[in-house]
Amino acid sequence: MTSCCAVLLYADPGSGLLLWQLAGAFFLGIVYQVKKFFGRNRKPK
Amino acid sequence: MSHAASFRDPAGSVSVTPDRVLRTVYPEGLDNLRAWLESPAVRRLVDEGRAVATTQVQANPVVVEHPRIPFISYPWEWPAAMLHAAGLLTLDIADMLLGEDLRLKDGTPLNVLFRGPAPVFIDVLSIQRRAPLDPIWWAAAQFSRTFLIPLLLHQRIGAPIHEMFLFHRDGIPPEDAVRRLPALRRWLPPDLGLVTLPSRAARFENADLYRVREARDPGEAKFILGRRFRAFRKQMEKLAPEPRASAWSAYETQCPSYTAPQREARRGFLTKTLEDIRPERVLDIGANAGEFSLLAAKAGARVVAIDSDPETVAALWRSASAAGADVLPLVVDFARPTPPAGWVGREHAGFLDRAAGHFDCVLMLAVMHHLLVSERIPLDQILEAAAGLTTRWLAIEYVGPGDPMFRRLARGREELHEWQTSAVFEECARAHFEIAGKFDSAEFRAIYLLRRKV
Repeated sequence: MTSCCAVLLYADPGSGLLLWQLAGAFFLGIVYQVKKFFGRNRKPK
Repeated sequence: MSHAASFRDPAGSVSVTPDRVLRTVYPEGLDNLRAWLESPAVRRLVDEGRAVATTQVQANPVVVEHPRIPFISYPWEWPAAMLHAAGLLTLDIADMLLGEDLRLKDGTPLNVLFRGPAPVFIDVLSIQRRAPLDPIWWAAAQFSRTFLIPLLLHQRIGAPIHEMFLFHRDGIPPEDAVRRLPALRRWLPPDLGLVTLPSRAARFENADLYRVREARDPGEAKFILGRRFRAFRKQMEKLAPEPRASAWSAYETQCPSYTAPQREARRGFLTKTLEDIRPERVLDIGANAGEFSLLAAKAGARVVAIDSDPETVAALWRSASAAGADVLPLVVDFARPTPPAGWVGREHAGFLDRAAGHFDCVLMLAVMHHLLVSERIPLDQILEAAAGLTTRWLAIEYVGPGDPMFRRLARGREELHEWQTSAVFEECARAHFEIAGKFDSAEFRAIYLLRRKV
């Protein structure tokens, strides 16, 4: 993931809870990219 | 008149009259309204009765109208099971919107009301378009604070939901919750990910944290959000409140004051009475497991049932939901009713303000002696309060000082109450009501059907 501009927040995004969500999103982003990579390279049977 | 609770919303304000609910949408909220009106997912939710219907009634400024939810209730009047149902609805909506590149901008139980026992999402301006690369649900922390963490505390230490919300509008942050959890449990899931690690992570807060992050492609953002919602759903499943017994769970069926035939006859009298008077809106005070709330609903009334015990209220909510009965059960102690809450005490009306003039029939069955003895409320004041709540009928059960339950509650102080005979009761009742009927329900008990004097 890359960073960009600030967002107009409505609900309080929390501090620790947001950090924890970001950590989860980072991990899931890697999972997605790995799945995408292997999906792209899998040869059709 | 603008509704006091809508001043926080920069997108619009709500005005409520006895017949109509109108929402003025500010220019900042027009995109959100359009997203709501055009969304197929929202249309499905409205058709299923899970989201409030919305009709535009004015173009400039834009005003929309919603059907009125019969009785407004707040999370500080819900048992855990109702908070859980409201949370599942919020999560369902967030998940459904993902497929349409929309999102919920907040995740709070204050956006949900109950129509009978069914939760209904009401905040139409909460929906907004989602940046396709945004992988973060910015309302996730609020969802955790207001749904997951209160349910976790309820499950772990039996913390009553209604008490938490009365003093914490935006829920319980992990930093507060972690101190309440048992020491070892903090280090096991789901407590670990929901409370302990976020509470530790809070130490690393800085301004950079709140910048928008972008995923590499829209598919990645959607994948991350989908997994986030799936994780929340799993946590909600684990935190689903189990039915629990309380001291009052079996009160209706095991009260020693009635024999089995007397119990049947009492039920028969009330069934016939409700069929005769056909009330439209009933308030059942001290409803317990809701035997008579369900009877009133069966007779065609829209019922609000209140009791101070969250577990019996939860049990009634489950039976009303299963039966599809129009009963809204709430955790309200009639002797200490929900006070006004929020900013300058005017943001959310107290229970009595919402109830006054709303009901054409009030039921107070097997409850008078609790108010008289345990709460030390004088008889004339009990009847005066009841007269302030009903526009027409009051079915109240007189319980005399000789009654076994009365004596148990009095704990040796019977002489304080000996003068409260049925004659005294009738005299107090006549100050506000005419006596329309009387039924001897047990040796020391009688149900009076009272008609309010005009």
